[in-house]
Amino acid sequence: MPDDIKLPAVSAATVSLGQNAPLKMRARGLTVRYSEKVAIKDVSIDVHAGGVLALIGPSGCGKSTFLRSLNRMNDTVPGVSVDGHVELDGEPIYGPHVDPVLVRRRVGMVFQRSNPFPKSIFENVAYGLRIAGIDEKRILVERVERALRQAALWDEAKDRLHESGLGLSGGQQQRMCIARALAVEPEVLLMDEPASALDPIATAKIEDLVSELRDDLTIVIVTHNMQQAARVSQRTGFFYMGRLVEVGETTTIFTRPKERETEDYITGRFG
Amino acid sequence: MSNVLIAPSVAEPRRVPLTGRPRPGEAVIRGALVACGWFVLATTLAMLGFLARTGIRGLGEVGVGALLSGDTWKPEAGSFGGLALIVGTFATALGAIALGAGPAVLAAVWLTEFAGESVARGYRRVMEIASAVPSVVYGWLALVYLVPIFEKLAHAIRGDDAPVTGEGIAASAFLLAVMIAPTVLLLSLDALSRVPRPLRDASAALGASPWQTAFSVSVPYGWRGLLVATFFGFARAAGETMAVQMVIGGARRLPRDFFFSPTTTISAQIVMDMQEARPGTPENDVLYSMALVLLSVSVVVVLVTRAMARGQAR
Repeated sequence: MPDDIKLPAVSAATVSLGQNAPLKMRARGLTVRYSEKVAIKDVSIDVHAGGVLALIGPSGCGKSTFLRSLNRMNDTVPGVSVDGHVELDGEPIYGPHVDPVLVRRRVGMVFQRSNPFPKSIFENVAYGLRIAGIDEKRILVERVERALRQAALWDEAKDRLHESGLGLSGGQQQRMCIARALAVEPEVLLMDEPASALDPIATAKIEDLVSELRDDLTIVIVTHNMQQAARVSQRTGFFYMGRLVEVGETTTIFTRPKERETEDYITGRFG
Repeated sequence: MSNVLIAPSVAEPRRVPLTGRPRPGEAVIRGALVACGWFVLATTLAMLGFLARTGIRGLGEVGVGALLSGDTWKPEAGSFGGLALIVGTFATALGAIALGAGPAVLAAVWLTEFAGESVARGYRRVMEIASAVPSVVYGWLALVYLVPIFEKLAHAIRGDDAPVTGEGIAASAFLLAVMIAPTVLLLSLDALSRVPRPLRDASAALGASPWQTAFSVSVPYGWRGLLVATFFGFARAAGETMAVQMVIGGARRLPRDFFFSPTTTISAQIVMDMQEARPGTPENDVLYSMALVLLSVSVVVVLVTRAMARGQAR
């Protein structure tokens, strides 16, 4: 915790929520650089268990970088360096001897563009289970079905499970990718603008899905769409130029933001 | 043709017309480019035509069956059994693939998935240099350093009194493996670099370790390209002449000991016999027949490779 001054602000926000949900993840003084360029600087934020935390802000503000540092996906980017502290259930995920592979099994991720494997729908959803060492057919079938139902894709996919996942529509592909992430039963699901490449109908389905899933797991969703943040999240954080400007209850952020920059952004004065 | 292109523009007044005629410089350049295009095509076609004509004549003179199955190659005595040459060519090339392509492909997987960026770049540079080393250098080094080692190895395996030497299929296959590995590796790197990053990310985000991503996503996605790299290595090994000629032993028969005694290959035998053979004689024609066999193998490999590359592109 290099910067203790930030802490009270976050704690105050948490208290003002009156939210008693335990902490699922916690970032303190997180700074991420790509080569020498600082992408996010000194970000501290709490992610409560259950519910949806939305991260909003203009393009390039660092919200995706922050998201990717919650499951160590940034590690796969050459030249990246991460300073600061991130905890999952109180355990540091950047600590020594921590295996990023194991972090990612608990903290799943859905990407901006659907990225199905060139395999069947079934094998796409079963992928994470197979690499986790689950080979028993009965279990695979059961978990794939459950994941597809959770992702609201079962009815559309059940008769074509063994056809290529690439044959699905864009929105279906994204729901398949969500099912794929859900199949390994993560505790936290990170969603990086999951609907930004989709049409309004497909977007609405994804949003419904997010609202249903929040009962089962903790979701952090990055979006450039403020209405979406307002619709799906209970808490919202606003990023601007690599800093977390403000985080709080979604209704508060959208109606009575504390910071001027937040107000300017949500009222459409920039961004 | 030349006066048609140049004559009208000589009298052209100095102004810039909107409807232009070919400018003289451009006409010359265009003519030169067209000529170059036809020249390259014509020489290639002439070569192929000559090879096909002479080679087919040779096949007619000797008989396809005798050429492909006879095991005695003594053109000066009228015996044209090409089996030893064909066996030598395939055995050395397949051996080279067995020894060289596997490690090269796996090294490419390592470089793509595990090694750092700077290591991968440096490794690539070294391989690019290695793939540009002339084959005579490889052959010479192999003759001086590799053959003695294989001679010891042969005696160690077969016994001190066995009729084995360091020359032959084993040494040639090993040499070819070393020679083709850089090419196969570079082509494999290209194939693996075409695996989309979002697929790797998806795999990593699902909790796959780097090696699981490598063998569950990258290799299955890029397998056609890896196969193309391997086939290309095979074609190169089968056609390699100079280096193989220096270590194959130059015996015109099937090897007494399959791995460790002298034999020959198509390309090595062509080099050895061509000086003796007078044009127009069956001894001469049959060398072209063997060249035709080698070419056919390469063409089949190239066609298969192309078909696979198209599959990958889809």
